Amino acid sequence: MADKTIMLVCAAGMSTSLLVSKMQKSAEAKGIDADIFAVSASEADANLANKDVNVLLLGPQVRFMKSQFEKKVADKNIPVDIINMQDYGMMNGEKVLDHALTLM
Amino acid sequence: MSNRKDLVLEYLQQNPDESFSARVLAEALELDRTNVSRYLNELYTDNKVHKITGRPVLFQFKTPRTKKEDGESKAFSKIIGHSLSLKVMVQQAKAAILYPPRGLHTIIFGQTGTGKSVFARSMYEFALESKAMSQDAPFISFNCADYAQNPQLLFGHIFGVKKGSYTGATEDTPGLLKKADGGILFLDEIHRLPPEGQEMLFTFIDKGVYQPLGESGKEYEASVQIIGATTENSDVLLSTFNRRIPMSITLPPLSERTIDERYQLVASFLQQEAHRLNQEIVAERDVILAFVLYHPEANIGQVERDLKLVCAKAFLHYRTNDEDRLNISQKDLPLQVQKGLLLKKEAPDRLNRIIKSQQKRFVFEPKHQNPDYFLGSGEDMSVYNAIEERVDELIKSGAQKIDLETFVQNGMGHYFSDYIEQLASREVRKELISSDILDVTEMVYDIAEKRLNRTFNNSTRFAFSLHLQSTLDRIRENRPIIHPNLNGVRKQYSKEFQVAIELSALIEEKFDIEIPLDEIGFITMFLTIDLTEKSEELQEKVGVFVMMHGKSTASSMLETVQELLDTKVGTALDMPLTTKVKEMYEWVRITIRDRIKDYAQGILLLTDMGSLNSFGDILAEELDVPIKTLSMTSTPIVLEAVRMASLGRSLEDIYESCQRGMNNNIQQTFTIKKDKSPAIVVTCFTGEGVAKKLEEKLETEIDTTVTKIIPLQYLQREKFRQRIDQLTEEYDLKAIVGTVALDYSSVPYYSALDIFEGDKLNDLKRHLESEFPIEEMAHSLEGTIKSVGSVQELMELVRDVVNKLLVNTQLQIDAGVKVGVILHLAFLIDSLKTNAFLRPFPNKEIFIKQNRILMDTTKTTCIPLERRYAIQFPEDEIAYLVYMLTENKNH
Repeated sequence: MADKTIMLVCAAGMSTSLLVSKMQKSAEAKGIDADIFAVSASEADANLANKDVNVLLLGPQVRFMKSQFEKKVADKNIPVDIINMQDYGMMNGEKVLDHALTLM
Repeated sequence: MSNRKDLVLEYLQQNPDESFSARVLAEALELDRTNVSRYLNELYTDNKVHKITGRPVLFQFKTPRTKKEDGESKAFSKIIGHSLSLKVMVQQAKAAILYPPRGLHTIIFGQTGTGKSVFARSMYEFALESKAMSQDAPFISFNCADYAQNPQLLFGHIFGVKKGSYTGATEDTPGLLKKADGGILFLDEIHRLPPEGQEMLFTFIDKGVYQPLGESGKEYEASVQIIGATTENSDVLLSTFNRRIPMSITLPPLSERTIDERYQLVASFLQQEAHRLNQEIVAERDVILAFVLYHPEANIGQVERDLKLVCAKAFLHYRTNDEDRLNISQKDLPLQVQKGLLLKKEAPDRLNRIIKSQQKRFVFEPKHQNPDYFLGSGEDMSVYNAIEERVDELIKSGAQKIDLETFVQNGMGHYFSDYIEQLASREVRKELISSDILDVTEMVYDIAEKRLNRTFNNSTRFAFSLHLQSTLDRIRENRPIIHPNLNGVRKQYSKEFQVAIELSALIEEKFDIEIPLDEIGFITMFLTIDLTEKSEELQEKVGVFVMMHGKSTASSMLETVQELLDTKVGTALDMPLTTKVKEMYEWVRITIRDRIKDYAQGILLLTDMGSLNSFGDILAEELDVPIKTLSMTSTPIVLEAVRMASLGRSLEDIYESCQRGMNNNIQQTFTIKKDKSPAIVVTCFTGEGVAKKLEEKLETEIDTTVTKIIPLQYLQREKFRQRIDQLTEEYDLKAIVGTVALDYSSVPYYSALDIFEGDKLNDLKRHLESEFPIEEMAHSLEGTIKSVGSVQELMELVRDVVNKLLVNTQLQIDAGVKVGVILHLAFLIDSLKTNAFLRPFPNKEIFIKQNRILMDTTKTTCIPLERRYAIQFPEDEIAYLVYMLTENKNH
């Protein structure tokens, strides 16, 4: 089990998967033991149940789901946020990772 | 920009005799005042307008100095049409006056109300002006119909009476002819002159001599120019008069006057009324149109009477409803005048140039330079005085309740529900409301809940605390407040009213102030608010009528909608191009009349264009049914109307919702290019209290060098909306922030609470973000999407499609969401190309059915991508896309 589990959610889990690989690279470089993965919105619930997720990040295109997720994880104390547009557009793994870490 | 400037110049040019302030022009043309003011000053610099300094500064069209027409007379220039339809007549009249040595006797023919008396009077003025007569020359006017029953008396009145000519004639009495010596005698309805009188008149005309009644030997002389007038046009009469009176002038009936003249007639009359009442008059476009087009039986005279009636009605509204000016709307017009609107289609093109379609309202301001208009017969103020007295009486007796009650229902109801709905339910920051007020609010509501045995939610409480704050300020500053229907509230909600009294006592004690009774009325209203009961279902449904030109346009549009919604609600009436407007009107009228009982909740008319648009108000009056009309209807509007009607929503509700949809549509279609600078409107009732605080807060949060903050007072919904309309011309409005929600189609609203709580503020900030450069996105993806060739090309294509999608679906999303959607689509294309990617959309069938139109639009818009990359978007993916867009849309 990794120290930190970061779950990214987007519509189909496709666009975020590229971001995930960039975040993983950045984590390795920094020597952070992090489990970072991307799922589609429909798979999110199952993953939340099975995994001990520490941070939940949403792609900007599913921003409308933020309050839904906040409710779902209210009792687990998992921070939920939306990935910054700039970082998302630029696929800036490092910045998104940094942001995720500050949320924990 | 320059277009609008031309518009201003054109408007001034069309009213060359009047001067305008920037404000009046701005209102008339629905432009921003500051802009208009700028245009005017530019026009002044260009030497195209006169500037009349004063407060306010007035501008007037500068007539280019061309060769001045010889003999341009002031006397006739007041007559509308003096250089158009009446040009020949004016020339005749001038000739008649100037003909040496003493002018020609003249007869004026013309139907009732064509302006014969005014014309005769102008001839007299011209005689003075041209020095054809001395400055003290008399003008005697007499209507021969006055003594028509007594020929002898009539004769005597005109020619004088010799002492002893009949019993009672105890002395010599001079006649009108004598009184008019050296001037003009105007004999109206000259055909009513008895035969003896006519004979004597002709003798005078031929020889210049006459004999008074009872005089047998002596002949009298007088130097009088006779002007006769008659409505009669029998051949016998005409030939008699024509033979004996050298000059005959025929004034044309109103139907033969040009459209320009008709407009001027209406405009100058309203101008004159505005002046007489010293009060601005504002008329809707349709009012002016109706007056310009209808067929009054009694010509100008009737136009004048009808206009007077309408002004009197407007004056009544103005007095009873305490409006700040006289507003004339279509529904105030007599039915006969309204029917003028049915003739819109047959009206000459010229009409559209005089009465521009973009000019929604016509403003007539009282002028302080002596106006000297053609329609000069109205010194009579008795109508207005009567209204004034009546209203005073009513107010004293308290009997005005009925009107005010409707006001409360329509006006105040909205005010309250909107006020509250938009205030979120969280605790408010101390910056806005001081803790003692919050404490008192809690206390007040705790008591209210117990007494009334009902619960109030947080947003109601918050709204009340805001209200309480402003109430305290108001009371401390001694500013009065008036509840328009205090008694009604007291009776209708006696229980709440009792509680409100108790609560007021508490508030009085806590803050050491005195709460006026009117304020208790407001508190009562806060206690009666129940958000859950907002959209009551109506038992009877609103009637939706689709009426369009063409053989089957309306019926097929309605059919589509009914099929989509699986309902039978709605009625379609096709108007083939061969159908005459009046036939169509009758058909519509009968259709509604036959089922009038079903339409107790009112009718919404959805029309496409032209005369159909004007049916509503006329039908409403004839059938006594509430009717609203929406023109330029399209399928989505019909869809929305039928949907809401079948849910049993109220007419007002449906109308507003459809109108919003329509504004959206138009805005999205026409204002895609944006080079306007972004701005945020901050607002509150005073424009300085909460708005000021919001401005201070926003200044720390956003870059004000990019986004401008505009404080604006919110007093009355419609006025505010108009201001916003104006602002959108100049700015790219990003948000309206304030205490009262305005549901403005394209501009999202944020409550004051939103701004002081972090989350929504971030929303707003995101909303302000500018577009993300697509090149950089493409660059960051280079090498990751391999199946498509140039990533740059893919990203640009996807971006174009997404932009188009937003326009076509009329949805608005934030820049950030857009980045996400673009990326999503790019990766989706990659996946579809590389593997048979498929994920099902849950409950697809239902979703598709509910979003049929959006689905179709989205599918079609994405076709270029499918072609370019030889792929096929699965229906599930289109559904996901629609879902993503609709869920993320801004308000």
